[in-house]
Amino acid sequence: MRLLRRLVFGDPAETRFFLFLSAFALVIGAIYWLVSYEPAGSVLLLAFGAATGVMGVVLHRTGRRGADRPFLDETGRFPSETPAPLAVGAGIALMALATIFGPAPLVVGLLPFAWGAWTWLGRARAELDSQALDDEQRG
Amino acid sequence: MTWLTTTDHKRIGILYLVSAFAFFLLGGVIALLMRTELAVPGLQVTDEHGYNQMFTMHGTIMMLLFATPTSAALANFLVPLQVGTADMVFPRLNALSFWLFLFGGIIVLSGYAAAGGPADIGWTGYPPNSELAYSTTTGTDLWIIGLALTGVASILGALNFTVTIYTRRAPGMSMLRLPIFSWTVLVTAILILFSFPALTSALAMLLLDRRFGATFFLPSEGGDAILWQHLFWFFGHPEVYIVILPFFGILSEVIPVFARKPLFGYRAFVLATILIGVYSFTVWAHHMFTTGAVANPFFSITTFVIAVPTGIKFFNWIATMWRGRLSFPTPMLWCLGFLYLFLFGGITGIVLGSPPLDYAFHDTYFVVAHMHNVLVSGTVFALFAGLYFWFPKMAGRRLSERLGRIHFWSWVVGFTLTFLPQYQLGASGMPRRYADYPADAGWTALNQLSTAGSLLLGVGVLVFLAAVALALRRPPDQPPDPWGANSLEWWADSPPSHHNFRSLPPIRSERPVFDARHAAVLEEGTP
Repeated sequence: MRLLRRLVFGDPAETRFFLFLSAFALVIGAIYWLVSYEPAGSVLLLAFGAATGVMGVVLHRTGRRGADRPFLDETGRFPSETPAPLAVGAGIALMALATIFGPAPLVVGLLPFAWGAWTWLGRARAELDSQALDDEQRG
Repeated sequence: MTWLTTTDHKRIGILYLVSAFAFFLLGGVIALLMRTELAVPGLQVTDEHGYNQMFTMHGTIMMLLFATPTSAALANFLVPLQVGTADMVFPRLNALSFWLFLFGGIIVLSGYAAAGGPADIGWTGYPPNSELAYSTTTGTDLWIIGLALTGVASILGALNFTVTIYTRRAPGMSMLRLPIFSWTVLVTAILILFSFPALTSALAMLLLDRRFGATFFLPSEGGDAILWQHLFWFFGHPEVYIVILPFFGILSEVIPVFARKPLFGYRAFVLATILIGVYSFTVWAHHMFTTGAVANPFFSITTFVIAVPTGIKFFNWIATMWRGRLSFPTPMLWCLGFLYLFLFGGITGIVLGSPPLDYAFHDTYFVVAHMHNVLVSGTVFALFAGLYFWFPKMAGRRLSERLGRIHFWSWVVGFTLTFLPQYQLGASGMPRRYADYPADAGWTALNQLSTAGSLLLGVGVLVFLAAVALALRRPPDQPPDPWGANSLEWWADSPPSHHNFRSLPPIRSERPVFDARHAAVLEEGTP
């Protein structure tokens, strides 16, 4: 009972949201199985309940709550313009077409995908480093 | 060039909006061709196979390349502004979502260039019709790949919205001070995260059947065609709410502004949004009543139950207007049009939720009318309300009121003419997805009325495009808050600067901009 009370009232709305989704889906999934014995829908409902439950429990355990940070001028903290997402997207689209047209689009798509992914990761790494340095300087 | 490399949420939102609207125009042209075909008995515009391709592409484009990304477009533009942050949590992932959606859409449309033409299997893609033996065109494979890519794009976008709303809210912005539009985006994102994987896996299984000799959906080889329907509708019915909920959010932002009152029952509205979200996962098989393979009473009850939170929302909107200081600029007109037309769709949904009636109406024009009544009034009317409302924020310019009113009335009249006759056509037995009908069936006059209405809808869209073109020719002249609105996006410049805010007002309620304006009035001592 104490655990239930803690879950219902002790957690922020963000966490309760996922826990509610999970409880609802698990209960409905069980009822659905009992009235239908239909496996596909039961699995889908119970998997929905389990997945939202995992998210709820993780949020509950980490005690994450948003909106507790001060307002910051975030200029320079976000990625600048980059063609990497366009290249990765084009690469994935071309590679997916290989399932219809054979290996040629796979080979063609690998080039923009690899270049885009490399550029993306390289810039993300550089941003993380500069952000860490910035945080250190701000104390 | 900078539009190709941007990671700014506002620009990505506009890219989504322009692309989705281009798809909408294409889907609309296909709809007009279908209505022209049906205006008189006989085959005028196309043959039966061409008609199959038309309704497949019309449904696919409107549902998955227009309605779903349009809400993503508005969410992209508005959510970071409404929660008071500079951008989405993952800006590059946001850009990738857009490009995957666009390339997915182009791949679906590339079926027009393929041997045999585009997909011809209906937007629901039911096997065995969608298996290779019955649909030999490469367009169907392109349809599968394209939709899988747009599905992945939606999942990535939903992840971004969820994390942004959870972790990037401004100081003071608790979950119960979140603007309603952002709440609806959050619930929508959760629906996407848990429903789109069902579609993606079903598409992968269908592709394996068609290209690699698998037999998931082939009953003759031990597969199960009904399994596709379960997977598709486990995605497909939440999809209806994925499409609708953000547009409910738009109404909830617009109506209080022009009623000069706070939204009636904020918490009840949030709860109703969450309930619609979770219930939407329990109603999928009401699309499958006539298969005889599902528990009809279970899904009938859940279908009736989901009408309750929707009714709560209607009550909230009406109670917000009740005794308000109402004004009726174009965005408010579109909201009223939504309320009037969506109600028809909702009520006929209750009719179809009853299995005995559904057996009578299944696969008739009654279903077509209901679906359009829900989805077109639910998405397009609310979208136009949102566009007229937020256009000053997006572009720094206001759309013409005069053209907006012409646009609105052409849609209200056109929509009513197009879809109300279809209820009667369905009730008198006209089947959906047929290219032709007998001349002596007594359906010609109603079909002609429906076709005339659809032409009026087309005219309305041209008027809207003219209003946008005229507005964009003027220099930006709008202040940050031209309507006297409530939520945080109206604190930013119009259009907002690159990182949105230089400062934020104190957030002590769900109407921080109203509070700030009110505080300023009190300080000056003027009413």
